[in-house]
Amino acid sequence: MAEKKSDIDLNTWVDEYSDMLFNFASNRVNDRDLAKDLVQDTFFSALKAWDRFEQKSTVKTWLFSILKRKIIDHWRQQQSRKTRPISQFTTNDEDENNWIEATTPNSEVNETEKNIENTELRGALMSCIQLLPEKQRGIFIDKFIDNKDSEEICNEYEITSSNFWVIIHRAKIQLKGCLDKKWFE
Amino acid sequence: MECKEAAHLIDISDWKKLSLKDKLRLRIHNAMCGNCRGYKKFSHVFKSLFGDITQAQECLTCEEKEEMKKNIKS
Repeated sequence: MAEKKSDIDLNTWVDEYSDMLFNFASNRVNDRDLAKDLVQDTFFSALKAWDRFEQKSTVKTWLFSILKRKIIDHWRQQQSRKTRPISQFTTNDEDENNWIEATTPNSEVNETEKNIENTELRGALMSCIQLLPEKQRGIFIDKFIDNKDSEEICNEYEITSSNFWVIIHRAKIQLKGCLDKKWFE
Repeated sequence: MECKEAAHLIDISDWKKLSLKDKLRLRIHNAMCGNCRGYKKFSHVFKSLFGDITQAQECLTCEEKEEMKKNIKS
């Protein structure tokens, strides 16, 4: 039976879902406090919108969809604050012949597994991910962090499979360039 | 096979098994192409980095959860 507004047990929501939501947000914004605020806002918005919740999906799915929107809003705000694009992340479609130079790894990358300190590298990697364009970032995180099925991502973003793999490839190359700068230099 | 196709197969192979035909084509290409061999290594290391990240899941502390409950109610 559907829960009424008065029946909502906020404590249960926080206890059951906050860790999942927090992890999801934390992986996407790379800032613990901000992730916490986003989760709190999500619960707050959910409480306000509870009357309109048609219960076609589970509460968990609904909360995640609210959180996703909040993260996208945050990314957009971040994007609009940027005064100019970061040159390392511009993609020149005409420059296809140069892709191979861009993908050639340097020796440091091959040594990564041996040398990394996970926490610091995670920080560097996550901050590099924040620099990806919005759509690319969402797709990349869904695939590499959430391990979502490629087909599911294609449906969600309404892209073709070949488009999806091009986006993944470009994101990898851009992240490699960013990591070379942030981590290895 | 061109490098572009090889790179595409390398990207896919991080996530699913290639067909025997594609595997052989890629192997033959990589035997002759140092750049694609390098990209394959990079791609493998890169993917493994994310394995470490997803294992390192963060949680909110009990205090943070209590504070959150208070903030939402207020």
